[in-house]
Parts: sequence; structure tokens; C-alpha cells
Amino acid sequence: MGEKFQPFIHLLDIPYGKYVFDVNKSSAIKVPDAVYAYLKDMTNEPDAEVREYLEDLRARGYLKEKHVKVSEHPVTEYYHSFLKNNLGQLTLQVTQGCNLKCEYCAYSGNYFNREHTNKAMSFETAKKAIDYFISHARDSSHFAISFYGGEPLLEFGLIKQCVAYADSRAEGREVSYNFTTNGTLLTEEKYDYLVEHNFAVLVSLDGPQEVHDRHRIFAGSTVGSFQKMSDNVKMLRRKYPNYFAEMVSFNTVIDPAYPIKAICDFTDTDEWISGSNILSTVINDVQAKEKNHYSETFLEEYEYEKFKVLLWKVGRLEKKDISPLMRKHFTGIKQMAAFFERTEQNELPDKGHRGGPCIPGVRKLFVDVDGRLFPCERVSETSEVACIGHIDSGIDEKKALQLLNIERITSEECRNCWAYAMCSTCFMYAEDKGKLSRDKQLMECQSNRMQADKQIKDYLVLRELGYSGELDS
Amino acid sequence: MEKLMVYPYSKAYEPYVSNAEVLGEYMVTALVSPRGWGYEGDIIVDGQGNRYMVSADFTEKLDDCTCVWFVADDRRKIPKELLREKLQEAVKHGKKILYTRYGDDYCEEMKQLIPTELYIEKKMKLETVLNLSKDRTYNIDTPIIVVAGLGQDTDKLAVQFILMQKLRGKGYTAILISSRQDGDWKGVYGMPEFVFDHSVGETEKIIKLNHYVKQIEISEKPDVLLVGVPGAVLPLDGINHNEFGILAYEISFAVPCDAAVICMPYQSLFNGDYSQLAEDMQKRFGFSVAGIHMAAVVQDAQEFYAERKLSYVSIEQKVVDRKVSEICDDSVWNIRSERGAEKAVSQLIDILSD
Repeated sequence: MGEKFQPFIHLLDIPYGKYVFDVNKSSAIKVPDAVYAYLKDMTNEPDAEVREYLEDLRARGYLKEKHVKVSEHPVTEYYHSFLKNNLGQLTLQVTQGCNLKCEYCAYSGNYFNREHTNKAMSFETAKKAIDYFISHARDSSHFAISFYGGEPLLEFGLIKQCVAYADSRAEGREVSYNFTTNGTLLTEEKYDYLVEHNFAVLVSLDGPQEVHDRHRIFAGSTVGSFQKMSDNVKMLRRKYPNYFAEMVSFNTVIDPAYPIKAICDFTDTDEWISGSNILSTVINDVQAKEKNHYSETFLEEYEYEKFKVLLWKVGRLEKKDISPLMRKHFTGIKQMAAFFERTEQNELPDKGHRGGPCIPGVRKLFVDVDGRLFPCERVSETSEVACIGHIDSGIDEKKALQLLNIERITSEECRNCWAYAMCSTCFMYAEDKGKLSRDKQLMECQSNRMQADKQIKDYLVLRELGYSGELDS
Repeated sequence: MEKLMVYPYSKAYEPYVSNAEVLGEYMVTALVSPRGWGYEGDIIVDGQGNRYMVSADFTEKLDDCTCVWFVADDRRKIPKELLREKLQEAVKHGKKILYTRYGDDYCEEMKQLIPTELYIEKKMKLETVLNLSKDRTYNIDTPIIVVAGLGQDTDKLAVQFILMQKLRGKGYTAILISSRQDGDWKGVYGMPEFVFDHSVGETEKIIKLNHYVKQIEISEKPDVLLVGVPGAVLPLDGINHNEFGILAYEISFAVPCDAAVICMPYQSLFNGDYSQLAEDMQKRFGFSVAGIHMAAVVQDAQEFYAERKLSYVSIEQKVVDRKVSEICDDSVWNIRSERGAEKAVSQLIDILSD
């Protein structure tokens, strides 16, 4: 064990023992306290017992010092083929308009992004996009078309045209359709159509009326949208209960400035949403001009609710004890479980890329009203770097590859980071005034590592208590 | 000569077009694929340099054919109603029908729609030259090359056809028992239905397959037999279990293997060392691996990690060629390239000659 011995590891101390996360093996192993203590500072020579333990670990392939040498996403060498054959989801921005004016909306003017306009996509552009999709999805097992806005139902006529066109052109494939809506424009005629075409619908619902109407107000007024939305949704549920149960879900955007309990209570007890699938996110502030304010009460309640989810997963609470709003708040740990429960790797490859980026233009492709192409709907549409092409000319592979290989702007830091495989940031986090900024990207590193550290620890504690990701699928 | 339309055409049927002579009295005149599959406009070139453009217009292309071959590709589902519509249209126009979608639950239902006078049974009536005992297997004396895959869509059928043609080109009588149920063609026999039939017991399946191969051996008197193994030979994990390679196991009891070619997807980290795989194949199935064919498909890792589902994406042949030349091992090939095919065949001949 020479002085220069620098295994690529991260140490984790949890109430149930001491662990070493081995970056090369992608594995977390429990070690005796003395081994942990030695690995923590590695200044003194290890005693014989520790030395023997370490030698054994090394013989089993642990504690390697290897780091990735070259930053290159593995898909880089066949990215062209992925683009050509594997597109799985097309998102059409049918309108940039909305009948609501929610201040946390990415298009409200409070973000470095476009603002709402009355622009709509032309059918010609939509047709080109659908044709592009069909000719680039040969190997994809998914074939989904999403309609996005603004409020997509403002362009219901265009949506119908698109569906008719896609159904006629995509002969031999099952197309699944979906959109997110504020729910205020749903009508009886639209219900019938959505049911007929088996649309998956995600309705924005922030909680009880007093919470929902805090942000979700009609444009040009101070009137909240809760009443209208809930009347429409209730009617849809009454008319098509089976469809509603299967295809309608809700998305709750949580404002961390306020307590969360009222929202949890609402989603738990209110009859018209009971049993529904509810997704939730805290207001996104990645491109926000001002960062979120987290109230103390919120943090306390939120962490408590998340803790209850963990207790549920180890059988200390029952599902009914968990707010439906929080049941999905386990994705990160589930991903961690999948990461640790899959086959170990021998070591890091020479060429590699950290986790985080999607493959631009492959799993999904976002087309804005003007036919410009973006990796997804969450990126800033005003960003020069985020625009990867146009429906008339296709994807600019050089630009897209730059986004795929985003690690290259922080290559050294990434390759030396223990959370290399667990990083969750894509180029969006590095985008600054239309360019990729190394400094902005690096600002994310600490919180990313903290999150990874917390998630591994949560997972290990759950594992100690008998949790198995495999059995939780 | 029957003029043949292949429907619904996909990449999986390219080997039949590229090796059209196996179709015997059938001549491909149209390749039609549902528009949504994305093949429309693709150009397929056969061994003689003839070019075929894939069409999405079934009705128009019906005029160019006398017979429609309804084929199956496990990777691509076609809506039953669409299939029925096309079948009825072909029947209405008096076209002969070859129907080899044996794996569909509704296969018999579809076959009922075909009038007897239009239905073509594409299965050889093998003469029973021996009165084979139902409770034993027989020695197969002809050298056998087994072609198996580590995943679906790894070029298995193309490799079987190419090896067969190359061996024939060198003067050998090579007969193929293919990994698929596409009917029987000139020197090419489909894997018989009972192999896939869950109601047939395992022992019975092994004995029947052995008898099937024995009869082909006796009637065709080949110099070499190629046997394709359906599906994949190894489980990837508990979810993508590839039926645990059970068919390969059964086949390994039915026929001896003198040399095996294993088809694998492209892997950028593969360095040519397949010793562990060869050992696995030998221990599990008694397959002596002669070499590896690297197919121009790659596992979709993002899909796998997101959904735990194994799927493959086609990549360009040049990526594989580059890898194979980088590895520079006489037993790692891209058999779809002329050079790779030549190398593989000469290697196999050497092994079988020993």
C-alpha cells in the first residue's frame, strides 16, 4: 500500500455501518470500521488486519485507481444511426399561446426563455414533423406523439388534423397520443375525441382551490382556474370512468414558499381525484431569473412526507398512510437500486461519459411552432445552443453531438468525480445566454454530489432494512 | 415462375432477397412494408445486382405479383386488422398465398380466409426412408455448423445464408435448417413448428428434431449441414431472460455440433477476447465456437437502464468493419462483408476438415 495509492472510491457512513462506494465496480460494499478509518485519511500505514482486508478487496477487483481517460459518450460513434433509426417520441408545440398566466410557467417572462405569444404551428410544419418521425423510428419500440403548448387545447383543430394524418401515415404501428393541459378548455366534444383516440392526458392541478388559484389564473385577470378545471375534469370522470382511471393523471407543481400539508391532504381525500396517478415537482428554477424561496415550514413538511415514503417502502407504514402526491417521490432511490442491483462492472472504460445527458433528437424530439428542433420541451427555446436543427433541414449533428458530449466542457472535473455515473445534469444546466458555460455547469456539481450521496445512503439504509428494488418493481 | 410479393417486408427478410436463388421457382417482384415501419424507399440489392425498392403501396404492387408471401418478424408487430385487410385483398385479386406467420395466435384464423386453391403449403414432404423409432435419437454423420446468437436481430439468418452460399460456391453441398419458420425452400428448411410448440414435451421435441435432421441428411446427402438456433442462447438478466436459451439446449441434444458461429451485437468495448463465452457455450451446449460474427446492431443502453428492456438499434456496417479490423483476430468476423465471409468460411472448412 504505497503512499500514492488512490483508489477511486467514495466513503459512506450510515447508522447501519460503513460503506465504500467503488466507482470502478459501480458497487457499494460494507467494510469494517478500521478499514473505513484507514481509507478515510490514508496517511498512516494500515495495520496487518486492515492490510489483509484491503488486499482481499483488491484481489476481488475493488479499489482500482482507474479513471476514464477520454470524455466521449459511447453513442458518439454511431450517433448518426441512432438519429436515423431510433426516434421514440415527437413533441409538437402546436401553440405558444395560453389562456392562463401562471407566474411559475417557463413562458411567463420570469425565465430565460420565450414568452407566450399567439403563434400556432401550421399543419404543413406538423406534417413534415410527423413524416420525419415515421422515417426515423424504424428500430424504436415506442411511437408516441405529444402535443404541447402553451395550452395545446387552444389548437384542438390542429391536434385533430395531426392525429388523422399520423394515423394515415403510420400504418402498421400503434401511435400513442398524449398532452398536458390546464383542463379549462375540456368540453364534451373533446372528451369523446380523446377517448376515441385513447389519449393520455396529464392535467395540471396544484392542490385545493386556494393553492391552485395562487398561481394558475386566467390571462388578463385575477380569476383562478380551479373551478373551471375541476368542473371539466369531474364531468370527464363521470362520463368515462374507465378511461379516466386509466388514461388521466395529474401534475402538481409545488411552490416551496408555502406549506405542503394542505396539498397532501387534498390529494389524499378529495373524491374526484382519488385513485388517480399524481406526479409532482417543485417549481423548476433551472432557467429562472430568480431562484425559488424555500420556506422553513415547507422544508420541514416536505422532508417529513418523503421520510414517510421510506417508511412505507420498508413496511413500517402502509400505502394508505402516504399522500398520493408523494408516492412517486421514490424515483431517485429506485434508480439507485437499479444501479446497484444490476451486474457489477469490472472497471471504468477508457472512453466514457458521465450520467446526465439524453441522446439529443433520439428518445424524444421537440418541434416548436416554427419547425425548429430541440432535444426536449424543457430547454430554453431562445437558446442558440439548444436549437439542434430545423424540420426542413433536419438535425445539425455537429451541434447535437456537442450537447451529447457535454462532459467535454468540464472533462477533468467530471472524470475525477466519484458521482460520475450518477450525475443528472444535461446541457441545460450549463446553458448561459445561449452558450455552454463551464463555470455555470460546475456550480451544479456540489448539489449533485450531495444528492447522489444522500440517495445512496437512503438506498443502503433501506437495503439494510430488507428493501429490494427488484421486488419493488 | 411465380412472381412473389413479400409482405410485411422488414430487414429480417433481406437474406431471402439477397439470396434469391433459394426461392427456386419464385421470383421476388415486390417488397411491401407498412408505411409506418419506415422502410418505404429503401433499396435492396440481390446477389445478381438487381435492385428492389421497398414500397408501401400494397394495392399497386399486387399487380406485379402472382403470389403474396405473408411473413413474420418477431421484432415488429403488425395490427391483426391490417394483416387481415391485406390478406383479403390479395385473395380477392386471386393471388396465391404463402402464409408463414406460424407464431401468431391467430394464424389458423387467418389461414381460414385463404381458399384452398390459392393456399400454398411451403413445407417439404420429406420421404421417410427409415422407419425411425420414436424413443431414440440417431447419429448425424454429416458435419454440422451451428449458427446461434447472443440476442435477437444479430444477423443470424443472414449469416446462415451467407455461409451456405459460400460453402456451395466452394463446391460443397450445403443444406440449411434455418432458425426461422419461413417454410422450406431450395436447400433451406425451416425450423419445424413442433420446436416452438409448448404442448410438445421436451424429450419428444428433441427426438423429433433429431429425426427431422436425420431425414434431411438422408434425402439431401449434404456435405455439410448448417443449423440455425432460434432466439438467443443466453439470458441477459432476470427480465431479459431470452427464454434462458432453452431451445439451444434442446437443439444441442438433437444434433451434434462440429463448429459454432456466435452472432453478437456490436460492442465498442469488445477487445476480441471471447474465451469466457466459448467456455460457456462448450459447457452448456457442447458448442465448439469457431468464431464470432459481429452484427451491425447495438444495444440501446438508455432504453435498457430506463425500462430494463433489451432492444437493438441498427448501426452502419462500416462501424463494425472498423472494429473487426482493429481487433485483428482470425476468428472475429463481419460475415456480411465479402472479406469477413471468406475468412469465416475458410476457417470453418479447416475446422471441419480436421
